[in-house]
Amino acid sequence: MLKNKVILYMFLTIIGGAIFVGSQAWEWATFIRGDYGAVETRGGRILQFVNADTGERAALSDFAASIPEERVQHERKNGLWFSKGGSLPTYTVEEVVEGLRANPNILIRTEQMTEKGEKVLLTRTETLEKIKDANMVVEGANLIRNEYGSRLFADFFFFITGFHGFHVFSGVVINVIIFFNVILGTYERRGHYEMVEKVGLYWHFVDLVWVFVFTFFYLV
Amino acid sequence: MAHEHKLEIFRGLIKFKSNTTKIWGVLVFLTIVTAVEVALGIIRPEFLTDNHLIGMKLLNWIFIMLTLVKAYYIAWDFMHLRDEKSSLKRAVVWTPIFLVSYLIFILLFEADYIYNVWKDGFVKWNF
Repeated sequence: MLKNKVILYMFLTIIGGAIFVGSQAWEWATFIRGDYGAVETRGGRILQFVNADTGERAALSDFAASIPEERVQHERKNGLWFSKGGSLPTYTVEEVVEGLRANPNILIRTEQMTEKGEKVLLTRTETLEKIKDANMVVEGANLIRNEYGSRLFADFFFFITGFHGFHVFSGVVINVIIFFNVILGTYERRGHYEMVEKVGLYWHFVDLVWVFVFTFFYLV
Repeated sequence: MAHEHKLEIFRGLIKFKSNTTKIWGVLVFLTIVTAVEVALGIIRPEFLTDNHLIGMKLLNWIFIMLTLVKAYYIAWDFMHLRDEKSSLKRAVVWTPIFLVSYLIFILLFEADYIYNVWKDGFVKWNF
């Protein structure tokens, strides 16, 4: 039996799994932190900002005004019943509205799609009208809010990729256990490597799931 | 293992010398399919995104079909279903096909209902 080859391929599989989980962690961290920032309306719709000259998305830091004021994070110890407020975003709604009024080249892009599947871009007049609905500043994405677009998509994205990532993580852990068993010669003494096959079956089940996750969250 | 392996893929078009080379061959094939998917996703050719079939873009139909192709080879070769008895294969394949069809039916009906409530309902949501 080719013990050394099994060791090599188990090792490569573990490295591959670690690269996958690492990439996913980086992606999550990037999405949670956010890139540009947006505002949400009272109806829960997201409004993004676009630079009219370039057509690129504009970050809040590009145009938001700075209004000096006292902003206090609501903490557990100050609460009526030990509930704490959400963390404060970098800018207040007033600062974003003020900055938007002062910069004539910033337009609002809504969550709604045109027939071509692109987000609807408002005119300057519509923009100034729409910003009155702004309720809160959103930076990054999580299970509830999403600066990139529909809230439901972020919810599904984190739910599904999180579930799959957890399966990959447990697969890596199981692979590590088997890897050490191979090194220790457990399966040589047993006379067969069927455990590697069984764990491989689990690993490829997770692989099968990823094929679908990849299609529906990254390609479509 | 002492059991016999079926070493032909593409209905006998390619026959591998051993089960190990078959795994590598399938890996190469799946890598090519994935590369095609990613390339299509980056280019997004206009005749595929502008034309629809049963309410879905042609591009998405291609993605889903290529995904099913990949799923087939993962299950058949990486998970060794090809070497199993046909009764086991059928039990494994038809159960999820039934459940997923049921799920798709529920999701599409529910989503369509919610879409119509938003579109024609008296409750304003886009504010």
